[in-house]
Amino acid sequence: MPIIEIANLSKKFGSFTALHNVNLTVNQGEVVGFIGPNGAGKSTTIRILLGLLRPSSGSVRIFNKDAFTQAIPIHKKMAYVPGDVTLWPNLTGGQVIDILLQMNGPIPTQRRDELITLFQLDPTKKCQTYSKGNRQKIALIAALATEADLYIFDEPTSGLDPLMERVFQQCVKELQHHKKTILLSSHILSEVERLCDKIAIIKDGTIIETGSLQTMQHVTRALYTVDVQKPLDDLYQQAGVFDIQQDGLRYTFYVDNSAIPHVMTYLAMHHIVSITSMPLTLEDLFMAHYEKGGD
Amino acid sequence: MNNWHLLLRLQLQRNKWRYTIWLVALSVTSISVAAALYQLFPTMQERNGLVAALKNPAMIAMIGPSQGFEHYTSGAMFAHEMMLFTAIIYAICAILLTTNQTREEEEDGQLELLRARPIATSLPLIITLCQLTLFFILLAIITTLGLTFLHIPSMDVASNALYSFSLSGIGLLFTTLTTVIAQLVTTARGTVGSALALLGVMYVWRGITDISNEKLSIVSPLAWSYLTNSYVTNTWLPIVYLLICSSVFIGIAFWLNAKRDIGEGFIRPRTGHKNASYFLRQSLGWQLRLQYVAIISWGVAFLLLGASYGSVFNELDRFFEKNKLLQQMLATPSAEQLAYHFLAMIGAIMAILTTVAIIQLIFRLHKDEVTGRLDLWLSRPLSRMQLLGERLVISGGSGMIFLILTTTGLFLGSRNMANPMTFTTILKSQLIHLPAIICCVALATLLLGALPRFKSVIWYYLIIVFFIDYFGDLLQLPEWLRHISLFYYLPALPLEKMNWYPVSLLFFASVLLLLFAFLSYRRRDFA
Repeated sequence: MPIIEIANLSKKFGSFTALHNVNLTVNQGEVVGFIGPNGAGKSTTIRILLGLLRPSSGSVRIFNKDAFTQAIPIHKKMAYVPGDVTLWPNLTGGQVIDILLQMNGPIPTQRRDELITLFQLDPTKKCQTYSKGNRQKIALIAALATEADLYIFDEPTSGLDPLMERVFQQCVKELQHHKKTILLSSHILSEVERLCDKIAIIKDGTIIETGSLQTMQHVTRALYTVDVQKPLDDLYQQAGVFDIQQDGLRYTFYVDNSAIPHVMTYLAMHHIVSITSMPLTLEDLFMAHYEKGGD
Repeated sequence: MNNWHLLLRLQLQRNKWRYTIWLVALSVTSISVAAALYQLFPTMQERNGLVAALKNPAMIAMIGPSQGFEHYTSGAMFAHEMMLFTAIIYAICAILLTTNQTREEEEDGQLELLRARPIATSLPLIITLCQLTLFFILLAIITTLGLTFLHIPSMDVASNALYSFSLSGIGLLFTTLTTVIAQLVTTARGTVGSALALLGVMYVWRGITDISNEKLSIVSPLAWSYLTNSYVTNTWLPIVYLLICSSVFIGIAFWLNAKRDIGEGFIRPRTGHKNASYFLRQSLGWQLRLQYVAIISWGVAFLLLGASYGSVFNELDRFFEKNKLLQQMLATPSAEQLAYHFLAMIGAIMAILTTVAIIQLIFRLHKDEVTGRLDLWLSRPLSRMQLLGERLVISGGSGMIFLILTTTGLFLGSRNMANPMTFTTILKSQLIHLPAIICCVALATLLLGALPRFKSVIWYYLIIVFFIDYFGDLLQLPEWLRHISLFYYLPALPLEKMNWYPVSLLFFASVLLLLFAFLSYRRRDFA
């Protein structure tokens, strides 16, 4: 069952097109990673999902309701963590968490206190004295303590230390276990790799790739390191081989997955000492995409 | 220490516009007010009329005493009316500039970048003090020259210099005081807050002692401004107090600065409640909580303004006889009529100020929107309609309280009149402006809802309206121009008869404007 359905979404700010024909479906129980560089349109998409911005064209539906006009019923079953949390300076962290939770009904005090302990937040401090990471913790605690069906995280760990990052990832795994739907925008590719079932890559306001990590690997390349006895002089001429780096008799290069049989045949004809292939990381995937379109 | 000139240049470069604007604003205020006062009250007879209105406890508590009441020269009048008020502005200027260069830089992490370089721990503080000392000396020199060039009788160079340097002395005192506070408190907000609180205490102390026991006023450093008695006795001694006190503060600031770690202070920031109270968990509750400091501050200001205008009524008869200008402003010379005319005029002014206060409270919503504070809130089941609606209820409700506080101030202040006005009479003179206030507020809300980028249009409109209403009679402004002001359409109670026609028209217009405001606020993109 689709929870989020974005169809042909475009958003213009004056003459600037921030989003162009974005399509994305997030199904019940899926954890979807939303990645892209700064200014690609991640936050704009999320702000449209929240009903803060109005689509210029296309439809955006959450729980089969319109994200803009029916924001209130949607928000009753949704929780959100912004990337840059700004708060009123004269409230304490604890007060902010309570006010936010109260809007979604009675405060789940036990869950709230558990999370406060887990994230090691001092809720008695005034918001003006919190660091970026601590402000983020406040938003995270308020979101995670909310009994919601959909969780939207916009770069939620950008201010957290590695220890807290792990706590966050643990919490997401728990939500996943409870069949909650999650949209996670992130710069930290290892995090997306670890947590997400599906990935959507956005660039210049367009989704350029969606699918599971496995399906993406078929269309892209992998990194090979080869030690040889004699130089591979004609490696450059082989189709599907990129970014060759030579260090004495050690070669490092990328091979398009579609070209593997051909390249293997070629390598087999030479005196190979050792060969290692690196499984594709999201980082490579990301880079491959940017290089292709990076003109 | 040989990097000091680099750092000084960097800081001057960074702050040049800030300094220039304050320099121009502060010197022009003093010089133009001196010129204006001299033109308004050129003769001793007119000034004595003013003394009659100002020489009462309410006014003395507010603007300070004068040794020159017996011989109220232009200089004595200028120093009496302006010294304390301007000293407060200088103090605020010093607090803001100093905090910006001390705690704020530290909070933003700029100080850390600097400290990583081969410079002495105390250097940034030295640079700050040097800059502000130079700033206030320059300001004093410019003000002295400006005042002297006006060639007002009784305002000679020596007196002008004493006046200007007293103010700059106050500036220096608050600069040094703020550097001490910046060592103690760990946030910029806290530094400004504590310094302003101390300024408030000094102001209230001298207010109370000035009307009960004048000898004790000297305890409040703020009183050292007018205790120089510029243009009357020209006492330079308080300037010496200011310098000694500033030096002591500088010493303490350096001592504390050397002892503490970067980013730390000696007073831990106050912690608050772990949980939100029942009140705070209500939508109306937290909206009120975020506004209450502003609401209370405005409320106190309205009460004080009402009381001070009210005290003028006590001396009204004598005051009018002696002041041609005011007679000109209020063209009907009978005792009661005069009082009513004055009441109507105050009513219009206070109505505009109330409008400003209400709109300022509403426009904070836009600041919250632009800074992104509302994102987290609106991601919850909270509708924009509710948000704006509650904000209007709080701001409008506060506006009603402001009108009642103004009325109370006017009522209490004017108890010594020959025929005191009733509370109802005064209240009516204030409430009659309600339709225009609501209409302006509705217009502002529409701007917030539909064209938030152009919301300052309403401020320009209100400034124009203020001038038209304030100087309308005085400058004999043409009728068409006066009709620009929404307030002009309403009958001046109790002087004129009640007229329901404009009242209902303005209410109708307000309802329409508000309707559009809500519809557009719901439909537009959020910043």
